[in-house]
Amino acid sequence: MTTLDENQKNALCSAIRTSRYSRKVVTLLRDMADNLYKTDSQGLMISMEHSMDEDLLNVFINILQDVQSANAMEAEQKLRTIIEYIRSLEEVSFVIPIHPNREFVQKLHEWCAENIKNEILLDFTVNRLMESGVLMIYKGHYFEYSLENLLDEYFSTKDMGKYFRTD
Amino acid sequence: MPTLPQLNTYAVLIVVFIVSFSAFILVLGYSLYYWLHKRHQASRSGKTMDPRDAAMEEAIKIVDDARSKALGLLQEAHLEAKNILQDSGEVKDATKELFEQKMQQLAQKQMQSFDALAQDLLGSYKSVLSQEKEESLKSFVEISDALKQQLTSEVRTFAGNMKQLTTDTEGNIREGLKTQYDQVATQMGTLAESLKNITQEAEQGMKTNLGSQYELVQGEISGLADNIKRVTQETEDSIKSELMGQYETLKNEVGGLAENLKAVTEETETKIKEDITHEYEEARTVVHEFAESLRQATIETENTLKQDVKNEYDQIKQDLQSYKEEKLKKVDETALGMMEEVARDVLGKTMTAKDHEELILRSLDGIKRTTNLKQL
Repeated sequence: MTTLDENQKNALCSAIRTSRYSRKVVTLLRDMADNLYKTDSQGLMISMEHSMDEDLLNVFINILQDVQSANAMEAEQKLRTIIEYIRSLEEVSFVIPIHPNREFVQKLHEWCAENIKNEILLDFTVNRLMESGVLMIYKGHYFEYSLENLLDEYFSTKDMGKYFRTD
Repeated sequence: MPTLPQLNTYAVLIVVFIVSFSAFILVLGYSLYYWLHKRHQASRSGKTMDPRDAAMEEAIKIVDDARSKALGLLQEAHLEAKNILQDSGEVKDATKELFEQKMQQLAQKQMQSFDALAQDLLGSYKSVLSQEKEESLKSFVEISDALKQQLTSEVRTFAGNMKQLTTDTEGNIREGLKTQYDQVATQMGTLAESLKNITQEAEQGMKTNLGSQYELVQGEISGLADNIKRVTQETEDSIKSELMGQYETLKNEVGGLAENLKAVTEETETKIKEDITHEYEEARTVVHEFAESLRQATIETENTLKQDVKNEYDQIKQDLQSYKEEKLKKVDETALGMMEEVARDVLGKTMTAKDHEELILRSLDGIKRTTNLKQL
């Protein structure tokens, strides 16, 4: 049974970052594992180069460098270990009004790694009706910092009557 | 010696005196009864107030007092509610004005209902009092009539007896006098006849036989006349003395009758007084009990009214609070919607993606400050 050390896990998680990408990676890795008997390790790497971004490819190179010379069975086992690890990662969901770019995803992932846990994936939902702010959902807890909620909280804590006095 | 017409005159005078005295006693008895009756009526109507009227005044006073208290409660509730509104400052002038109008309408309605209730109460109380007064008066008049009839009957019987007695006494006296008069008249007639005969015989004898002794005989005749005059005087004195005795007896009898009449009159007066006092005490007790029950009823009504006013006030307070909360909620919703719309219009056009990213990161910092996410 092959395992991943903490650095490998952290590197994997930091390279994948989002749930959406993790699903894509898992699907890719499953296909690779299923078709490994047709190719060798070299073929596997070539396949990865064509379907993954550079960061993740570097991580996989690092992880799979030990199995390059081994047989296909060992490589498949390593891939399935990675798949299991990716599927076991926790998720934190964000509802935001804009489509996040790569840089922003990186920032958010760093924030989550620092304030929630190191190995975690981000799941984004874009809501254009949301004017501003963020809704974060983690382990069933909702943290809403949307503009609507901010206004609601603001008005609930303020004496609104003074804005409507006529005297 | 009195002559016959003089005796008749005496008898008539005595009879007239007796009848006049009896009539005087009767008139005196009636006068005494009416005087006592009127004095009692005057003392009842003049000196002491009718307890029913006093109870009525007391009832009016209690109702006025209750009305003043109810008015005070209403004003206090109104003032307190007004102060709450003034202090809150979160309600518009229009709402205050509306509340003021509602409170005035409520106060007016409460006072109208209270006035109607008080008027009904006073009216029913007055009606009951008048009815009771009429019944008492009717009862009193009936008792008075019965007593009057009884007294009149007794006096009438007494007067009849007195009249009968007087008539009998008069008849007896008249008969006695007539008998005595007849006897005296007979004796006098006989005496006069014999005297006339003797005188004629003596005169004749003297004229014929004695001649010179006529003067002597004349003197004897004169002495005889003196004797006759003396006898007559004695007879007259005797009759007078007898009549005086009979008069004294009659006078004593009439005096006894007057005493009896006086005793009967006093007894009747005492009885009337006792009956009237008893009736008055009963009426007073009834009126006092009625006034007490009315007072209790008024106090209960006052308490009920007070409770109603308090409930109404609490209800108004609660409604006002609900109204206030509802209004504020609506204001919040309106304000929030307005602000959201404004924010949507303004922020949506002015915020860049960079601004959004920054705001999201700041929001996450806010979450970090309030929640330890690693502990979840």
